[in-house]
Amino acid sequence: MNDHQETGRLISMRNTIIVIYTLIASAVFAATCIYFINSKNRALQAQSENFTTIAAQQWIRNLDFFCDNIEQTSSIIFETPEFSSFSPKGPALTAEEVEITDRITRFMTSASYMNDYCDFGMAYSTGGTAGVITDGTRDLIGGNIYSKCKDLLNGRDKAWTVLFSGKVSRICFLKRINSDAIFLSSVYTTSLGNISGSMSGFPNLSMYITNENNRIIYCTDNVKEKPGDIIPSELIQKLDGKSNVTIGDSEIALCTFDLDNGWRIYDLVRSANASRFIRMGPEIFIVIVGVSMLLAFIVIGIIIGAAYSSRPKTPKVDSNKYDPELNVLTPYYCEEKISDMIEISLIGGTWAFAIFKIVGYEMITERLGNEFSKQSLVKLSDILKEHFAGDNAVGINEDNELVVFCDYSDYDIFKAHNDIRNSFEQLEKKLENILVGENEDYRLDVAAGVCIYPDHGNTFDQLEFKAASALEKALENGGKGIVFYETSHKAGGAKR
Amino acid sequence: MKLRKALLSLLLASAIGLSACGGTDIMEFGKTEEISFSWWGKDVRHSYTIDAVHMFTNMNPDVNVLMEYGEFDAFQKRMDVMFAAHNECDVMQINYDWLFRFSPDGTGFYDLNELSDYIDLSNFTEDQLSYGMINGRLNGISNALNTQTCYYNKSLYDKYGLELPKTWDDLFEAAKVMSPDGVYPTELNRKAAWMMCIAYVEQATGIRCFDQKGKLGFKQDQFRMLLTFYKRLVDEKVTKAISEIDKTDFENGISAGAVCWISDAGYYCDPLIEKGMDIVVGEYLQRPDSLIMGWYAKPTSLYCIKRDVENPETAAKFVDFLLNSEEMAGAQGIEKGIPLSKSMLEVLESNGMLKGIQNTASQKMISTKGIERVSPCLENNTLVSAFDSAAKTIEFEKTDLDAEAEKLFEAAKASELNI
Repeated sequence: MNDHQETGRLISMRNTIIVIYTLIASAVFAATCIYFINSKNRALQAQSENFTTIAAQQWIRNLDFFCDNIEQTSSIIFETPEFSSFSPKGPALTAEEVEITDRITRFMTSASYMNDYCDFGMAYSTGGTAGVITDGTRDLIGGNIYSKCKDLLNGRDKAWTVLFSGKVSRICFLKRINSDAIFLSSVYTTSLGNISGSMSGFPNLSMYITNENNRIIYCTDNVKEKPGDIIPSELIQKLDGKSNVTIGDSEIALCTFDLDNGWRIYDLVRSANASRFIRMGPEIFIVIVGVSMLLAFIVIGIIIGAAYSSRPKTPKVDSNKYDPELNVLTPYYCEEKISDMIEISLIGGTWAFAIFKIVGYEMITERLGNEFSKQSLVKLSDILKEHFAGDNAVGINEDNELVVFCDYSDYDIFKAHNDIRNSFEQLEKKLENILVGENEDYRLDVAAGVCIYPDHGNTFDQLEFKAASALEKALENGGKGIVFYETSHKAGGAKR
Repeated sequence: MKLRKALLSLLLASAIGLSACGGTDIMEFGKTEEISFSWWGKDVRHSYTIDAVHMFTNMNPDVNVLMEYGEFDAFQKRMDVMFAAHNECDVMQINYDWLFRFSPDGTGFYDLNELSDYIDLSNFTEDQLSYGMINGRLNGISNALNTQTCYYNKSLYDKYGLELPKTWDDLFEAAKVMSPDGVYPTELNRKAAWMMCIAYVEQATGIRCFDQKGKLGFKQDQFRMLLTFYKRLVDEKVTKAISEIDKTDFENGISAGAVCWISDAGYYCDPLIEKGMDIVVGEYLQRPDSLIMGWYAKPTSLYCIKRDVENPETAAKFVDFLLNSEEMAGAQGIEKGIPLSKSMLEVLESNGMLKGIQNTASQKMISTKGIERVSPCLENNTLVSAFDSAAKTIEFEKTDLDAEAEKLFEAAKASELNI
């Protein structure tokens, strides 16, 4: 297997691991998100229920006060008995009756300016009116005002009613003055928005006031309905026939209160977003997993891309990668190759890092010449390449020592270590009888230092240091043989 | 090492993602600017104005507009009280005479010239802006011009074989034909009766009731003539008496005509037009020997800004929206008459919205020569009320005309202005 195939296999393994880890991490991430979202939803829901309840209670107080105020203001007409007992008989008004009517109109006009009344006047059985009864109200009532008001009173002394006209609907208060006169005052329903004060400023809070027929008297601007429409049926269904309740579910927090006159207040907060996740947990889980995986791959891609692009440019001439005579990696590429192998190695893998030195190499070179010493190295490298065939790195360093990085990974770490021992014992035998020279009359002594990745180091430099330390030990022991690095070697120090 | 960095980056991204899930929701409130806006009108005006205000607040989410509105009669009294207490709204639609009542020296309202960076005044001519100018200060800007106009149910006139009236005498002749059936040739409410009688007397005498400076021109004799003419209109059944006016009479065919502001034309005429009646705009009634025209135009209303408004720029932006915006033009149409603003007019023209009885009446006002700018004194509510009171009194013949003319003359003198 050549070097490219070897690298491809490692990259493939690395990518498989990344996919598996990313999938697991994304699933954990999604589960955590769902947990947080659900927790947040529950808190939001509880807060929304409290909020709508408080708002509805405040509304009740304000509306009661508002209606009481209108009712009490009507008492102003009893201040002058002449007005309260006035009942023209008709059909046409007499001069005195016209005069009294004008006085009443002036009086009521003055009295009504204090508030935002739309109407403030009296309807008489003759069909006439006094005070301010606007054209809009006359149009809405239609026909004889007195007769219509009498129908609305339906025998009662006083009554509330609503004249629906979209945005300018009117809330009317009717009160019988005497047998021929009915007092009518009204306000635009929009004025209810004023009494809500700051409550209407909450964008998420919606409010409806409905009459006994579920028609909307007033609603906040943030709903699509308008006065006169029927309240959305979903709200009525949620109440299930109950009144004065607070309801909270995944869609809505709703509070209702009923008034004595049959009107009902609905205060509600619709769930903005997260609550929907509760109902769609599995789908959302899958979506989050997918999205986080996608994001993770993008991030990993960017990082790997950046790493490769930032790597120092390697010479383009491939021949520089291998020593032409030994056919092993040159010093620079040897370090590069081993560093790459470390980087993409699987977690839990076991590798051997070894440095082989021909004992007395310098002396051989000096006495027998460069060619001879080179021949010695070729012999040694041939043996090593043969022994460490496969996806392993065999190279030479600057000190004319041969370096090997070899994979012995196994699920059983003890077996991996034994394999290393066995392999190097076999190699040691091969190294005992290396003969060089024209007549093979010169036997080489080879010493080697071995350390294990990742036990003794995580980088090329660390491993090289430890292996060199062991090699030094081997040289000290008698000038040949293979020595494995042990912690005690540290004390001896390394030569580099 | 690099792989480790990659894993660290992934963890960091995850942490950011998780922190996003647990983000804080912040709901801000009470940070909006608030301006108040008051106007009067009928329901149709309320409805489209509320819509327009919502459009404005949608375009300016940091601005909240508080609305106060009502129909004219009660609203006018409320304005008196608010001005007396200096509780008026930031932006106001006001009637022409209020300009002079509440700002006689020009300091009662904000000088809109100072806000010309926000209000596009180039949409108006100098003459149009002069309606709101007092002592060189631009107190208000008129949105349209208005005049009392005669509308007739031509279907009903045709039924009686009558031509539409062009002179006062034509009205009296029509009354002779229609009154046996209980039908009146026209219907004059309080304001219409007042302006019609003024026109009649001015045409007859050539004297203006008030000149443009606010100085009274009529003497007691002219007011006696005015009340006499009114009594004749009622006695000869040209119109019902003011106290008997029922706005449904025109719709029900009891009145064959009505006189009202252009801005109210739709309210009075549209129900009849919907019933298939032929409702037409009539001539401005004249005497054969008229010395002057006697008919007046006035701003339908003016937009003003409170003199010490808290947020003048915001108020000015809102006034510009009301006067010049495409949105307001679309909502308002010609409910107040043909708008004076060039930009608003362009919108209405391009959208084919210049149509209907109000448009016809507006075009007639524009094309009729001799219609003058009304004196704000004629709009004075106290004076109109004095006329109303006198009209009702002579209706029942409780007192002589001279006494009522004197009272009216005194009320008119009290209404004089020094413009």
